[in-house]
Amino acid sequence: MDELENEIKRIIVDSLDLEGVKPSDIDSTAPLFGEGLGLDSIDALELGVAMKKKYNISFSSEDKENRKHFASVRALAEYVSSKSA
Amino acid sequence: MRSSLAILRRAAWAPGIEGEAGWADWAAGSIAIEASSAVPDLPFLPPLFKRRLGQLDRMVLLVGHEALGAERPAGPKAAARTLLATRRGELGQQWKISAALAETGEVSPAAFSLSVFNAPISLLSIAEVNKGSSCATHAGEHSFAAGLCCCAGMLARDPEPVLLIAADELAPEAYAELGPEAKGAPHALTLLLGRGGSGGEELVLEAGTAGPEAAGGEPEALAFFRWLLAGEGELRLGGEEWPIALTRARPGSPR
Repeated sequence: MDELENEIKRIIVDSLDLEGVKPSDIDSTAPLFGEGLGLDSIDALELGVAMKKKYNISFSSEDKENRKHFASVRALAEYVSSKSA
Repeated sequence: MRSSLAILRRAAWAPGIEGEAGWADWAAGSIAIEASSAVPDLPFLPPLFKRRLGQLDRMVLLVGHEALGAERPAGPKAAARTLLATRRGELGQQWKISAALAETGEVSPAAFSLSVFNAPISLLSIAEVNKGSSCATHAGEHSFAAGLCCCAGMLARDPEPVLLIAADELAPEAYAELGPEAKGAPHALTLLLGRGGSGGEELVLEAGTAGPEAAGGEPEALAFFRWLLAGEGELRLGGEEWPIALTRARPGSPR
């Protein structure tokens, strides 16, 4: 799981142009949006596109669980794992 | 239409030009603007805000910040009407989207969000917490003249100052063969304009009279700024579509 979390951190830094932020700076359990990293709704869309490209996982705008999946790096890693299991 | 305008504050930025002294050298013809994609640093903005900005956005945010002034009063008085006049708009962002679309078939949501024509002036409103109205206008090569006429009209209706920003970024290389639309040095010039008599340098704008324009072929905003810094007599801009004549107001002349 650690490896997957680190991979997702790299995707976040690269796809969201987080200048000056290293993957290791991101806390796996910290909130991605609002507080924590401070990402916004456009970032959520961009991250969704990047996750689809990397893991072939689609996120539906109708899915009420999206907030849960995107809560933190760990939550995203758990979702990716569950989809590829 | 005849209008008397006061330049209450101004700011400019272009690659290779440093400060007021640099612009004076440029106006005198001893240095030129670099045709580069260099961008200004924006130390007054947080990194998260700056990360996806293109050259046009960054130039607009810098000159807008300098002209609106960090010492502005807070609250409702901080509201200033703003108008962006640009010939090419977010051409660089649109090129990136088109290139990615051709390559991958997908559009980046973040790139799309900053590709619309009024993105730079909207970003300025957000960055400066400016609740005044904002708009963007395009009149081809005469965008500056059209923007100046719009501001004169806005001031005729309401005496509160209007911030005019004329800016264009370096066009992507792929557009070079399209001719004059893709040429012109990157630059941003802003003028905080008030009605004549409200202080600062004063100009008289006569709109609607066509006449011979100064040769040179540089973007109108730069032709205007060169004239403002070092020129004499009358300046004509706007072609046949937006013809304007500008002169410096003489002390005691009627407004």
